[in-house]
Amino acid sequence: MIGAPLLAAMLRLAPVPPSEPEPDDAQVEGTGDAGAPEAARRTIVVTGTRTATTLADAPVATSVVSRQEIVESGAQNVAEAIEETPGLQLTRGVGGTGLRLQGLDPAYTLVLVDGQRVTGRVNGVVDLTRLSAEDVAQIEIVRGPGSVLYGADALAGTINVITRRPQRPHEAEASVAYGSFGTLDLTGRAGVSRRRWSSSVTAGLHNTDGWDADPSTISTTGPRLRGWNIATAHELADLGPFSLRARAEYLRRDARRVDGSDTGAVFDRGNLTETVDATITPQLTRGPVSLTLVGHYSLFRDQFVQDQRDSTDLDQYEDTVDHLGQLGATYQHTLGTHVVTAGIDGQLERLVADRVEPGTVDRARYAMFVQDEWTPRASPRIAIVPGARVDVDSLFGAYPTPRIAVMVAPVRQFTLRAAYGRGFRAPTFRELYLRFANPSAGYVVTGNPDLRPETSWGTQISAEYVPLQQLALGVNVFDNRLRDTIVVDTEVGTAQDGTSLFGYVNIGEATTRGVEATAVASWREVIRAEGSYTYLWTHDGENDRVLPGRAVHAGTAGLRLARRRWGTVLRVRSSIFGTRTFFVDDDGDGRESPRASPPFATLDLRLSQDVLAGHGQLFVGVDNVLDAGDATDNPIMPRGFYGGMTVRY
Amino acid sequence: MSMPPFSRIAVLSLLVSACAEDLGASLADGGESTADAAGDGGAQIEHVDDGEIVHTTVDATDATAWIHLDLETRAQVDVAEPQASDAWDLGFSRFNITINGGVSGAGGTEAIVIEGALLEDVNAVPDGAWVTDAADGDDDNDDPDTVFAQWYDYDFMTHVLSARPVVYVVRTVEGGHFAIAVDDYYDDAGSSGWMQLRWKAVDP
Repeated sequence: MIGAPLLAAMLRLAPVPPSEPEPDDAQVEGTGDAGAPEAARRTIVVTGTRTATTLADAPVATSVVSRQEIVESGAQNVAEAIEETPGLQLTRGVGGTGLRLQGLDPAYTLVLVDGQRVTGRVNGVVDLTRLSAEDVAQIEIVRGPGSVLYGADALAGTINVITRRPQRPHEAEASVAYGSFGTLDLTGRAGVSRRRWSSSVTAGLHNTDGWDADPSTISTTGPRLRGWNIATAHELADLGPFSLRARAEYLRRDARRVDGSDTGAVFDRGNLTETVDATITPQLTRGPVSLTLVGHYSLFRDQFVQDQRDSTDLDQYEDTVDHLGQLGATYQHTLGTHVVTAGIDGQLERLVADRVEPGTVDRARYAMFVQDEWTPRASPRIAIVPGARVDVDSLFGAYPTPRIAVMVAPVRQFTLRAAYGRGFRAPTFRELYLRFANPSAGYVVTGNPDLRPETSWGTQISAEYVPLQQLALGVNVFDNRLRDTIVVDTEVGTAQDGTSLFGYVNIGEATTRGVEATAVASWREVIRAEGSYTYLWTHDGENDRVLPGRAVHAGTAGLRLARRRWGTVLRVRSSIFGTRTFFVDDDGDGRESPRASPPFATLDLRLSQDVLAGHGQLFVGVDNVLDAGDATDNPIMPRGFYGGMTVRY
Repeated sequence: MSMPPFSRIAVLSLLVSACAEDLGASLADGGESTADAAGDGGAQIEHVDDGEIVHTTVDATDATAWIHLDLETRAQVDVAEPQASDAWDLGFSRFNITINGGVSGAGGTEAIVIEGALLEDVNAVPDGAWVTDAADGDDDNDDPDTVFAQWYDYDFMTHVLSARPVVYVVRTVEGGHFAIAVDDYYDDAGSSGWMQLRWKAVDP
């Protein structure tokens, strides 16, 4: 039963949907403990090489957060789903919740949905709370430069959110959860699957009243959110060599908060965000050859309003619209022990915003890539994957990004992987074209159209040891060197009327290095325990100090207790972060001094109970049991309780 | 094979592209600044009498324009060339205050700076050195050394200007004597550039 879909999947191209692991699949197919390390290694992944392989055979080290883990953690969006995954840190700021991978800022991680780039970065951050979890089948995270396959922004790594496909002839589910801070999550999904076509609709409503970490000030910390999203996907398959997938999604989210200034002004601030995503993917497969075409359009619109109470002096309104259109073709050919993948990609981006000059800016980027996944030996398994991509951008010209990945599995239980490659981040429209003046404070910030891309050379070496079916150990050593990073520089000049001119230049430099160690152990299907430790060394070459806000020592720990006969599951997840250093000028001498922020730990619990003969589930949970967080260094939601119910057909 | 019914929803969802309401329209209800400077005095200056002390609010928010005040008439004066005019005594632009003398004007106005004083305690012109707006001297900035230059303390952490306890006794162009203290730089809604002064006539 597993063989046929697996083989078919291996002959298709990314974004190939891996089979969605239903929570009760293990029971139905008798494969035993679906959560056991050995079984988890059979999950199909696509992101590392744009080809479908099992996690165990993937030449590039990949982490997976499965559907079962997403459901059992109670996550309502991608940020919550990846929260306590080893080696990851979430950052929270103006741009929302972002992913900091191996100590590098969220701007250096590429976010994909079904292999397609997600647009709408605010301050370099794609807000991962925008991606709702109800339509997610699994999340794949690949560390290290991925620009060789996907182009810009894949320096620290790539996170690919794979969406769900209907599994059964008819399926439907609905879920409601209500909890602290007026948090309401309502989701529904319906799907139909026939031999040749399938369709699904997924919708979600996510509201929360927000919270205030410091009631002594009028400012709120967590925003009040009102949002809903709807997505629909359709697939035609097995029409001879031809198949087609189409997906469209719309999201609307209204975020409101109150900010007080030091001058006594009170601002009611709001962001109304809308996103539209549409993708169509026709595919032709004939024997060892396949061709996949992709047409993708993405719209991001954000309306920012700042309403000063009792005055209009400092009121602001900004409407930003970001359009992204992409066309691509990927050709894959299996020739003996070689799987050659080659592709071309064309991308057009247009930004309409108030603070850029001119008000509408566009750019085009074309790319070509080629990769050979060569498996000279199947047992012991050796795979060598060289690849290269060249991006040609209308602003900064040609930019090559090569990569080499090697995998050796001398015995079945032991796998060694190494990868070395180059990644790049294209300068954003803001960095190129910004024209922001603050005359009362006497400064102007201008963009720099001559900016070059930021670049990194990354090394990942990992070893995986699975001595028993119930135990998996892994260690990953990494080194990332960022050069030409774009920073705001004060020495750009002085205007005639004395105002200071700030601009962007490529003079920054950063290095991150470290070790990530993970262990997963399970016993029958009753207990599963996992833990990880990450050591991170960072260096800011421009300022000769560590990168701010990173913990040198971090860890995660998790526990899953299940009583299958009762249909009860208890999931515990936690993360611990050591001391983090920030830099502030608190004595007015113009120099920033280090300030240590104390260690903290987050702990989440969720208990679920199957009801209605497996057609429903009741659940309760506590997020942030230890009530970690504060208003400045750590704006995470205070301890919150929630409960709810899911029914499915 | 019939067209899946959900495809109609697919088409509709593409048409629902960024059709949310315009948030900017909600700003029209902001209301006027609480220091509504449309009162007597002029378009940007408003006076409120409190016994012998006058509370004056100046809308000095415009960084490119100077607002001029004549203390005797309490009127705002439109001055095309401040350097060549007798009509004004004090000039305001953002946090800068000039007097009509020295490098700022030809009116010959001078002042005595009393550090640490309260306006209520100053009733006559004290003994002290008469100074006027001077050219930039040997200090940290490139701005002219005006008489009122030290009226504020600047907090570099919060970027807030706060008034220092200092009284300026000014002899105007016409020869009148007034004691002036700066109260605040922000209006009730927290906007900057709203100069709040208290002043009164004093004996020579």
